Amino acid sequence: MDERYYILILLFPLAGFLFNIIVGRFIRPKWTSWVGVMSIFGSAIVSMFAIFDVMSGKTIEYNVYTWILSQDLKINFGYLIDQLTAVMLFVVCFVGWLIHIYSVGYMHGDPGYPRYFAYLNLFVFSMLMLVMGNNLVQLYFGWEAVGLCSYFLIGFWYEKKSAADAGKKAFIVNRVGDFGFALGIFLLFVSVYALNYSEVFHKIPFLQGKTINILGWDVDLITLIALLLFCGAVGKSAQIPLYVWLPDAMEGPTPVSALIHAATMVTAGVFMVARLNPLYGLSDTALAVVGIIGGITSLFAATIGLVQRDMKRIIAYSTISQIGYMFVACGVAAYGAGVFHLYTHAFFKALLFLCAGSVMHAMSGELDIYKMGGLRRKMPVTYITFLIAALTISGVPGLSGFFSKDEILWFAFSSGKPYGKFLWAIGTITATLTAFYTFRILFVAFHGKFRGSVEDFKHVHESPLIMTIPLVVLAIGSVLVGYFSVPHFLEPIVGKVSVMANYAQERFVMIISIIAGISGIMIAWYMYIVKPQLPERLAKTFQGIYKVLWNKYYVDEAYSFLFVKPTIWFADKFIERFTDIRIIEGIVNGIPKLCYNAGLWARRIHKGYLQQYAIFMIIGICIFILILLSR
Amino acid sequence: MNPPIIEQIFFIYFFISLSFLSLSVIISKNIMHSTFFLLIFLLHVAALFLFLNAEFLMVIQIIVYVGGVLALFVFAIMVMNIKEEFRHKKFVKFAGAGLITGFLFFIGIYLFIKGAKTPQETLPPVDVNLIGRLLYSYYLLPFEILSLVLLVALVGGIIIAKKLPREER
Amino acid sequence: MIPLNWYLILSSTLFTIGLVGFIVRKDLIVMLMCLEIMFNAVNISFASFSYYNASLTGQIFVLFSIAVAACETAIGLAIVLALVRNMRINHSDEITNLRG
Repeated sequence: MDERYYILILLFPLAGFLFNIIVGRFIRPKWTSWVGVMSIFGSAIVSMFAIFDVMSGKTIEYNVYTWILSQDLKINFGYLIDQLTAVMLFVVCFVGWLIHIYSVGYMHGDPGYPRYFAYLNLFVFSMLMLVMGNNLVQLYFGWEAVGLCSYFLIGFWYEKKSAADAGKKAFIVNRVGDFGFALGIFLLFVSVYALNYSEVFHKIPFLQGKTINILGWDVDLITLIALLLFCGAVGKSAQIPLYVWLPDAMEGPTPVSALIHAATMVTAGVFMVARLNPLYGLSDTALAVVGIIGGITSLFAATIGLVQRDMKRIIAYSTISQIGYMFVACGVAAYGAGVFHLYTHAFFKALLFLCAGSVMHAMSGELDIYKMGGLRRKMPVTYITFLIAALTISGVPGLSGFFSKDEILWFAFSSGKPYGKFLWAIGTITATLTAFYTFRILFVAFHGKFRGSVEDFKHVHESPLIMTIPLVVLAIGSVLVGYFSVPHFLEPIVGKVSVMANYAQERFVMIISIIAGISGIMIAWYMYIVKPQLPERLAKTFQGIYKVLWNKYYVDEAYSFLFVKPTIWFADKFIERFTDIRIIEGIVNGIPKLCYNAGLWARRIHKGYLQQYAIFMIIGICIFILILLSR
Repeated sequence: MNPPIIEQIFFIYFFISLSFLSLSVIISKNIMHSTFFLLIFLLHVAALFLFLNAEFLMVIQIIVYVGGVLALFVFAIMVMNIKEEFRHKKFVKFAGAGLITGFLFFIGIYLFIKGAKTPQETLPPVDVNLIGRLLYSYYLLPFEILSLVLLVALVGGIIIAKKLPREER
Repeated sequence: MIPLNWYLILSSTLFTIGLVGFIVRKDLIVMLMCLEIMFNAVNISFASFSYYNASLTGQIFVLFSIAVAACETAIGLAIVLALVRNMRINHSDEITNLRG
């Protein structure tokens, strides 16, 4: 297809958004959902063409028009479709399309139906802008826009205070990261005076060794840029310390969680690092930071997920943990493996979320797994697809998750980096924990006896076809997509990873990771099926640890105390009291008062006497005569 | 006595009498007295027109002003039944300011007009014919508009001054 | 030959007297009479200009001026009549409805 037509990939969702947001209210809900679904379908079709083009070796770069042109700053609005973008396009369009279809059933009857589809389309548009851009400004535009859309969608049921708060939290925490991101872009610009990828990559090697002086310390320029940009990734991809918004974001509708917080937005950080890999490759410190933060986050989140009771929250922590894996891969310069895991993770995580949505639908909104049980008899399709997703995430051989996770662990082990083996160890432990908590959900919710009332159990039913078909498709995807070797596909972009080990060690690592996964499943089996009283006794014995994990290490409380409350105090005392009330309102109220009083004062001239007016007229004429005389 | 001196004597007489008459209009207590002084004033002005070779104007002045406007005044005074209140001051509170303003005005105008030059060519005695011709050729438009103005004044005067129907009184 | 100045001074004197009279008197009807005095002063001035410039335009203008003055007096008297009849106002300092 001619390269100019690929802009349709962006235009279809945008058109869908505009249509739904403007006229969506006035037409039947069914039509708005059709528009939403078909626009993404259109994007998917056109991206198929693009992907085929890329697979036959072509790289498409096209500048649509020059957006900003100001001396040295020339920013185009254009798109770059290479192998990396192709992978992302596949994920966003295809998984996005399936989630749109699922939403038609899930959000049925909701009063905000058209608004939902409008925002969802806007989100897909923003994400596509992000991945298809050929310069950092477009990336940033998409970055911010997906953050905005996630605010809209998380706080979709805005009358509920917790949802509105969660939306705000997401946006603000993202903002903190985005601030670092923006600083990174600025620093990059003043160093190389270019912002589109090809120029930047060409000019970066010349910056090696340069330092910049900050507060008296000399900091390596490339490392600083990479770390600042990584700040944005930390915020967007929910790593330590900016992960706190993601669990609360579960207040939004479940398909939103599936799309945004599993498949697309949170992976934008990984995409960014992979896209800017020439930059990161030049700075060992930055790579170390990326890897270590990823590793620690993945272990940290997995431990929190062990004891939570809300199904969606467990899956949310699982997301944070898996993204940690992707950053571990990037940290050892195995960007291809990271993107591979992104690609497989999109499928099985979206599937997990959509199954949770299906369960929520059946349980009338209940999400506590300890109120469920034995659902597998009543919801077979959901059960089987959830099982497939759980096996995939645990790294059972043959499924896609195994391939991607194993690649990451292998590269972590075998890269020459000093922290590589440490990350490998963390990764393996986390794999066990991942398998454990995922199967915990499965066993507690789907096996055993129902823990609620009999009437509730009668109510439990399988979801309608429009919701189960996407589940099945995603399950098939989770199984099959691993067989397409993404790292090999991405080699032109991210290069090959140098491997400092041999084949025997590779076998060793693979066996260890399989053992880790299966042992996690076994432990979960033991604790929840064979001896169901064991978890409670363990909780009582290790009460201190249990309490810390249950309260998510008290991080939210710490942030509230350290950052939130002082900011609110400052805003109230200074900004509101002083500036807003006194100064601004003083002027805004004062000027009309001044005019009013001046008017009152000037009114006194008119006494109402006719002859007085005549006197004034004559005085005017006299002045006139004087002027004429003086000429 | 040469004609110029006679002219000047007459002019001085007119000057004094016109000033005195207009002052009397302002100052007299009785409205009917003011009206009669106004009548004599108008007749003097008509005579002045005669001096200026404007016979037509003189006739018009007498017919319209004296015969029309003044009669209107007398009728109005009669209809309104104005009762004289002798204790009532007849001057406004800010009479002093008015006098000063008038005085300033007069000085201004005087400074303006004292440099006027007198041309030697003056208007010959003219026929009314000529005025008529001018009126219907050059000044046709104002003439027609004047007829409209008169119509409006007629209708407007009647409407403003008519007695309100019994219910509203 | 009477100089033009003299006519103009006469005219301006009468005008000023009329003006002062208008401002100073309280009775509405006398105010209207002072308006008449002002009109006549102006007519004298026009007629004298017409005489000294040997042009009939001045006289035509006087014609119009007389006509309009008549109209204006008529309307003025109608207003005074309406005031006296409906609001019992005889003097100008009682009309203060437009007082600001």
